[in-house]
Amino acid sequence: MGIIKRKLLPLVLLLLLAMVKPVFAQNDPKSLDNFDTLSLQDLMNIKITVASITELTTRQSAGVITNISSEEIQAMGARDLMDVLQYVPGFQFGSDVQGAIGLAVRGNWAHEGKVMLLVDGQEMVDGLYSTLQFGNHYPVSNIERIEIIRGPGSSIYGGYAGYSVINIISKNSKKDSDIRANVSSSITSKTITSQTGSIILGLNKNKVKFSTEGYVGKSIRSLSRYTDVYGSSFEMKDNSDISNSYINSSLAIGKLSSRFIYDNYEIRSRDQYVNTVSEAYPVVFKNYYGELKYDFSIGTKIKLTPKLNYKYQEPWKTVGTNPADGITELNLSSQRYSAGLLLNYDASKSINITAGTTSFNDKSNSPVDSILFRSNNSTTLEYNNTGVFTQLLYKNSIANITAGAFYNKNSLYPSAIAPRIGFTRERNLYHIKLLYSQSFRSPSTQNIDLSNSIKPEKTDVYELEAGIKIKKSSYLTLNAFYIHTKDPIIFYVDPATEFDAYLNSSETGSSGIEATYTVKLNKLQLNIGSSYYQSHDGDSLLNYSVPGNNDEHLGLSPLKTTIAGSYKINNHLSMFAGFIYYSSKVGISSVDNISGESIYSRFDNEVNINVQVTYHHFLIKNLDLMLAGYNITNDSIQYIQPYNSNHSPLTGLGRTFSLKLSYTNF
Amino acid sequence: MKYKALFCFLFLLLLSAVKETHGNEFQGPNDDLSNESTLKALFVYNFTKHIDWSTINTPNNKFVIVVTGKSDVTNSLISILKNRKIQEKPIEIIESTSLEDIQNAQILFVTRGTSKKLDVNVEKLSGKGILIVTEESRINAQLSCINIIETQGKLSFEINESNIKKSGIKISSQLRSLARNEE
Repeated sequence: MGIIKRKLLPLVLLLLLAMVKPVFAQNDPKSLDNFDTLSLQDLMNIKITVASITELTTRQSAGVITNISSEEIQAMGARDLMDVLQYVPGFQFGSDVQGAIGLAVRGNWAHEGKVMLLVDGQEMVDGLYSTLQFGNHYPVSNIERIEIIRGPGSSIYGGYAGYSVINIISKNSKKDSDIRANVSSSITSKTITSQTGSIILGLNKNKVKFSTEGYVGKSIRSLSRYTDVYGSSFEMKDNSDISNSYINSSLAIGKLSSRFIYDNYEIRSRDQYVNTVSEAYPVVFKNYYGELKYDFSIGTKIKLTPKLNYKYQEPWKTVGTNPADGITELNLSSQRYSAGLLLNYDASKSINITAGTTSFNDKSNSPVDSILFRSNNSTTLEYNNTGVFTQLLYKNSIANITAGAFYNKNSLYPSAIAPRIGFTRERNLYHIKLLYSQSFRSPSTQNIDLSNSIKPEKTDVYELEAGIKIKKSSYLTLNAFYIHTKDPIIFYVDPATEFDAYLNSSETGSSGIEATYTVKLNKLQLNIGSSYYQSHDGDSLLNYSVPGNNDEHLGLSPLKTTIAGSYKINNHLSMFAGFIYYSSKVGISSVDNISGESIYSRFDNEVNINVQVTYHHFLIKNLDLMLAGYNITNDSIQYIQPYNSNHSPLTGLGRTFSLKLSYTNF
Repeated sequence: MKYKALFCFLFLLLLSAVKETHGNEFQGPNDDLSNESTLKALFVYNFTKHIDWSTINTPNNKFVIVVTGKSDVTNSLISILKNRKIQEKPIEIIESTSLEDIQNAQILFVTRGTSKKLDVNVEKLSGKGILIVTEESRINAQLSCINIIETQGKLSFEINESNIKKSGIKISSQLRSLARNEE
């Protein structure tokens, strides 16, 4: 009976979705779909956008783009950024060490400083190891939109943007003062798996804009049993807690603006590097970000933005010392002071020039004399970096041409230049893009310190995209890509000593295709995406390779398909259904007791189905009630380590239900 | 068995998409709310909710909006008002400067820069219930009933009471209270 219910639930929901008669769209003041509800007073508060030469549509932009709106994030019932990124073609997740989860892009492990995550312009990548952590991390309830470049963005964003850029833009207050609040709780049949709460306060009066968001969340990575490669196992229920505290505040007075972000993320895990340990130890990622900038306008054609940034981070901070478990307290910190200047110049109606420069000083510290940086035998390790970029956009009747380059000068490495060129042609019924981009990444502090002679890595990416408008409201896009990284900086763990280290491998990369189909109507929004990659690592047996298989990378499914559909039934009710399919993948499951060699296994296809029903204006106006089901078929979701360091796969959560209340006063 | 359910899921989702795709088309590049012409079209549509034409005998069964000259506002009006009614009448939107067309209109939208070139004797339009909307930086005392103006990136409007009176239409007090300058 339980099985029948499990199978029938999505069908019943979807049947309802397909059968309901269209009624008037829900009351969303920001949507033109509901212009009947807009009063003259509302209209008088809307700011007109003046089309700038640099304001390009997704189809015109020189990049392969995915845009995700706040409405889509809300509709899909995303609990965090990881839930949102699951629906992006080519994106998938793998496990690192110490219970952490990282991102892979187009079949490549991007966790090692190859993806740039920006939250309101602040670079989230950690300054020591250049990593990002996912799972109950980066709250989504105050996001206005996410702009994702599914390819390189290094010619503007620098070395960390070699494979992708994820740009998060938070909401601003749209009226004198506003308040928004969210609380949610998720459960399985066994226990509460997450509890989150957030509050957002905003003020927008005269020339003063203030906004602050506070978020706290606790969750469990998994309720499964974890077994390491040597056969030791433990229940993850009480040994995989995750917590996150987050504050994002901004204050703008006229053209002067400032931002402060505090992000404290903690994972407790018994799965460390290879072996399991006797108890769950916390690994903490503490981050502070600050920015001050001023927007100058010189006439109508020139905009100048000088800015100052400060970043202080304590990533991968291990708390507690236990020689029996091989745990040593580690508390390294990094800080970055940076100054930048951005110029935007509309030279004519068809030519725009964007240029900028950023100089920073990175300084890493060890708080105790007993832990020294190996590379210089000191408690501090420091280097300077200056990046200069310029980009020219030339619009003409045949095609838009984007050409630019990023010049990088690092105090420890030779200077380098990374060029970019793109041709885009958009017509009413179709668009075509032909893109080439190079990126260059200098090693970060721990890349340097945990290696003998690490050198920068260089990536070339070629992309071709074509899109066709099938109907006014539906669009099909296809793209092909080729990625080649020379001297990739790779993290690995020595299985014998469990020491972590970095090396440059010879080359890695992938090629593949992606397709997206989008339907946007008054009441229905549907996004279908599919991506396929094939690895190519040259002749070398790389840490990312599957032995005897040159076509796929370790831990990463070659084929991924997603479907996300939301439907507004009436003013009060809307529904979402989404599924994510991953083809089978290969991971290390154990080691041979005698030879000590890694044993590779193929893990089954995965299907992750999520549904959400939203009841708008529940009990009182502007209070939304959301009931969501995640992984409702209870499939086994495996996060496999995408490099050969003998960490067993982490299993994700099974079927989970969530109840969320969201209030906004506008 | 699990995959059967998935295929059904996919099929039903696509089915509902196809159904909807055939049912309604609305979105387009000019449907952005912050687009100036879209916003002006919405202002015009909102004005009609505050104006009473009932005392005027209109010669046809349509609600006619005439836009002088080529303007994005025409496309926005067509896009927004498609399959709708104003004052219980189907809407016709035309671009024209001919007196014949204008005389049959309920709203005359005079696009920016064309008011001085408009070869129409305004006196001939008196009492015919024609709301003349302009989009000049300053209200045109001879022509405008309502002038839509842009200040600090936002739109607002001014009312010329004497021209409103001459036209024969009646406007609500709410519209007056929202106007920027009341003459």
